[in-house]
Amino acid sequence: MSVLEMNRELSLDEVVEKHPEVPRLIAVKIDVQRRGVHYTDGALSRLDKELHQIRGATLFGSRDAKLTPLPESLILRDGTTVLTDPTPVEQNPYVVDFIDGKLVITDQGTIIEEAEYWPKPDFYGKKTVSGKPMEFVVTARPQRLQLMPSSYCHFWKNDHGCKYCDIVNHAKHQKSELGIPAKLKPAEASEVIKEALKQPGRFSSICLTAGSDTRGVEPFDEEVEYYVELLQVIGENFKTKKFPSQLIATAFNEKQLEKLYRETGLMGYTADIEVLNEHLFNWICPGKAEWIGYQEWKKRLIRAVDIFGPGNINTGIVAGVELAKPHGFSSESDALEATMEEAEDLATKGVSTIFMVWIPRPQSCFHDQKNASLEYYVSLAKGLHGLRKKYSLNIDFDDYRRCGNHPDGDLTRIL
Amino acid sequence: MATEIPQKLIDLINDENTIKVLATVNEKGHPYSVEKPFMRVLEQGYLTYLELLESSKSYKNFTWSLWYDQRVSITVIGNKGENWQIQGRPEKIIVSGPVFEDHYRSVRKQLGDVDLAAVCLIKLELLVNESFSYQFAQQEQRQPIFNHLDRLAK
Ligand code: SF4
Repeated sequence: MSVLEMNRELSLDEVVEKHPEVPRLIAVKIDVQRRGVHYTDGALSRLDKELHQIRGATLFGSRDAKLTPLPESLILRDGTTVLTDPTPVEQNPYVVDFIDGKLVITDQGTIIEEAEYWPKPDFYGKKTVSGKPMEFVVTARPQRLQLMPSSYCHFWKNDHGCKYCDIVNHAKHQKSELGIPAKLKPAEASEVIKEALKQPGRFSSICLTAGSDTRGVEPFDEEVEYYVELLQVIGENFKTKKFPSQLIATAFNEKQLEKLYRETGLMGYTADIEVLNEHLFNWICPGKAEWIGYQEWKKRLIRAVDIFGPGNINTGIVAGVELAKPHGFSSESDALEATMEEAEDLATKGVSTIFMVWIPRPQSCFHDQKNASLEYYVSLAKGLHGLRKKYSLNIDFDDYRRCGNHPDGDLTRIL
Repeated sequence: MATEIPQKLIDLINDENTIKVLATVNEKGHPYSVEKPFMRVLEQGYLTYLELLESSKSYKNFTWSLWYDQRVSITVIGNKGENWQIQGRPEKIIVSGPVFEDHYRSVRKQLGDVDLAAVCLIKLELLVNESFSYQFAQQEQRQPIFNHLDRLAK
């Protein structure tokens, strides 16, 4: 019987030993994302608000459901970005501490790995002409600029938001506490991008990600129109028509995708299917199921490959939700097998699957559930990376540098 | 602890006319050697090399070597017959932040419109003087049996 089917979860060292194809640093990243972090006073004493990035506007909420100014996140010594957030100590997070002159990730008092805080970009702390803090308009990762055009998702209108998602509740929280607007003004976004580009070497891509907007003559036309406008205005900052960029959005129809490709500088497109199982998709993502449907979502991804070209299309899954109770898989090995089967089907048609570690967020329907074991995520990273090798799929537009959120994508660094 | 580098070797490495070749292996153990002009000793015991190409095999191999704690080697060849072989372990890959940006600006100032993928740090573990004159003298002294007889004939 595989350990995935046994009750006891393997420790980090045991998983690394059992799966040597996944480097320890990537397993550390996964586990830190899976369990979250707690910053000690010692660690926080090393936080310099002039040098380090403090958490700012986000599309989704954090595990502590707070907006307090703590470090945005961590970067490891191989340049791997860890996207993690402060987590209540009762939930057994990793502890970030300052020991012997180094910022370190610890577990039960043992040093696991060195880490650094994300560097603060130069545009943070500056204001737009309308007086808004620039970091409320565009946020940063170590090498990426991130725009959240709209923090409202229309699937929430009839309570059909995805069950792991807290976007609307979080947007309300951010708006009331920080005054962060739910919708970006294109000119303002472009103004901040222009400022960000004054920092040579800091950014290597721009990513737009937002909630779905069902409105329009054809469903989602308004969402597409808005992205086109935004990307065109942003594009005025570049001398080439196409610029390194990614849009994470709804699965659009062919006409909409062609418009996006033809009329903007967009290079990469991601439509997150979230869970690779039709039955679970219908349960967990009722809005996506209602407006598009699982099979049509897959078809649209495949059509997008013809428009954007191979290597420029992928889909994300919120790994672990396939095990959510009561309708999810009851064993990790069954969940893994089913997920890999569907991912392979997409891979044969040029679509890469990447995963995010599921965080049961306090303001989501699934707030009281538990994510999967470390071994599950490590096996998934290995499997999805294996598919990219087998089918020669690259995901340069969504890799360790241009994104940094996908452990399986980190492995493609050496392909 | 990193191995201390003698000043004459630091000067040699930091001389831009010196040839520096980085040898790495990939996950299958296949070797790959490439000249890396942007290699300097900026800190005692460590070599810094600037990787200009995100797509380079060296960078992929270097990343793999860091992941699996494997050594890389560097050959340093000066124009006066100096020849050093250095081995070390990848210590850090810097892709963001002030150090990265300083190097990004300086390399672009030097070469024009190029890019920088990473600032790579190697912790040195072994230094071998491989210049022929030095190695030959060593062999003559330690292993006098390695000789063709005619060299010793009256
Ligand atoms: S589509 Fe689902 S995951 Fe995306 S914002 Fe809407 S509810 Fe959230």
